[in-house]
Amino acid sequence: MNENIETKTEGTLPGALQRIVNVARLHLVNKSSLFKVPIFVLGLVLIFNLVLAWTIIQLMQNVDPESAENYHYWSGGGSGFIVVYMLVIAVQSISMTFPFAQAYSVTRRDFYFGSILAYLALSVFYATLLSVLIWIENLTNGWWLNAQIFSIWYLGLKTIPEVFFVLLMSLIFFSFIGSAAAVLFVRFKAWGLVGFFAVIGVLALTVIVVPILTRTTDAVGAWFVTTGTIGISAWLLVPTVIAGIAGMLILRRATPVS
Amino acid sequence: MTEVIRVSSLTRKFGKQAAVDNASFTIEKDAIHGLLGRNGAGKTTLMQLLTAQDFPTAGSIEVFGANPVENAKVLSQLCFIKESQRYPDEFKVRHVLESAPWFFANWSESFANDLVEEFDLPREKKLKKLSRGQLSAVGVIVGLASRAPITFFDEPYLGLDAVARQLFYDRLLADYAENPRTVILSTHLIDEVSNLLERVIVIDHGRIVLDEQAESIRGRAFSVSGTSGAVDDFASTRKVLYSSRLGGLTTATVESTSADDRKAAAAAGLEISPVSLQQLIIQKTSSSEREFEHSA
Repeated sequence: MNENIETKTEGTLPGALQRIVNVARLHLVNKSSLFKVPIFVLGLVLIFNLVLAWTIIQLMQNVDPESAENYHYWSGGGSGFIVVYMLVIAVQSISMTFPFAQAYSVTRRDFYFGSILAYLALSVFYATLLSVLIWIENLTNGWWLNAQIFSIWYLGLKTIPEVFFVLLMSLIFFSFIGSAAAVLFVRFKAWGLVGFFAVIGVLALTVIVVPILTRTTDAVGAWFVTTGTIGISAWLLVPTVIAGIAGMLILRRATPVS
Repeated sequence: MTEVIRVSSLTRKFGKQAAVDNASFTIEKDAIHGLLGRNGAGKTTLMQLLTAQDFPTAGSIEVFGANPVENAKVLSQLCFIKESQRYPDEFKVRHVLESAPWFFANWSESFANDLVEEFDLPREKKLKKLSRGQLSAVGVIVGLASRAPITFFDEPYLGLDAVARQLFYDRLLADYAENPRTVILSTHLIDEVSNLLERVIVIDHGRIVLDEQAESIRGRAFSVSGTSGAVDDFASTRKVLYSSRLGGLTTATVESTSADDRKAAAAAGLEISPVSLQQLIIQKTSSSEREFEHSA
């Protein structure tokens, strides 16, 4: 009865790894929502902001040429957009790809690890892209208009590797939170999302209320200051890993029943 | 005869409703099985259980001798595109054709390309924009070209016109002859596929009511027609599954395997014809089982 059982899949990697890589490829096969849309939006953000910055400078030159010279256009939206968009990508691609991967007879475990792999790859890609944009922004002295569109120096970062690290950790964090939410939806439908937001709400309240009740607000504030952006980004790994493990456990009993 | 699937006392309940109710059966290696039943009889649920997309409430399933749940070795041998299969929103037909080979070791690209031509499927069109028939064609193409050792087809003809349906039956038979594999075809259009089927499993209200070789089912009954008096005489001592009267003429379907019965009918001047699989199955699934057994 066990004759003819083989686990060959296309590719050269060992079975399990190859299957996980294949799921990641399945997520990435349709480039439009993962690459074309966000890159197009980044382009628009750049162009609109530069036009705006240029217009403001022109207007100021008519009134007060000296202050126009020192004018510093600032917009934090460029990088923040991609970071939040990662959450959207994770929610969308898990909830839509899961029923399809089931048709391809992928185990839930392979599907989950493959999804995580895809988001890690996407996070590295976008962290790199944004770091390069910020580097160019620096190099050209704000696109020759003294404009900061993608930069996140205001977070107290000093070098491009630091910027890359903070972006990467944030992107991974948001994609893992997004996958946890999506998995809850896949398994429990609307009630899953209600539960997700309830948990987030309770956590947020805890972070705010506990320091007040225990009169440790100053200590907590001091912790954030001394830990700094780099430290906080590193600490994001903790909720990221928790979300990752929770997602895996929740998906194990999920069904694509419509 | 080797079995590739063994199902024992399988039950799947949604709330109090049992979609699959204490089902036990086996699926043979390299044969075409019909999983027949009315809409809502439990066909899709049963296939979702066999492919580990859903979990049983009770009972056991063995596919290639092992529990299929989270078993990559087993699952990689299966292909099951549901009738209501959901695809990622922005997916185009070509994305499906591009990704399928990563998951099906026996995938034939040339076969898939031929089928895309024959079903006239637009590769660049988004799946959500396809007509019902085109969507069915996607499922049929993946199912056929995957050449998975166990392939499920779930009402694969929905929205397909007669030409496309015939194309599917022809390609299935031709490819099956060259690449034997286990096929489970769920349908309620029984007569249309009855010539394909080697084995028939009928499910009704979640219960398996019939599980037999197609040939032996067909041999179980025959139809007689003639003047009402002659037919009634002949039928009075035998078990009648179905009869209809038109003017002075009656047609009756009689359950009987004996050649003597057929001879007797011929001697009485009645016309004898084979009974369709569909008619027999309608009998099985429209009258309650108890009634059916009692009249025997």
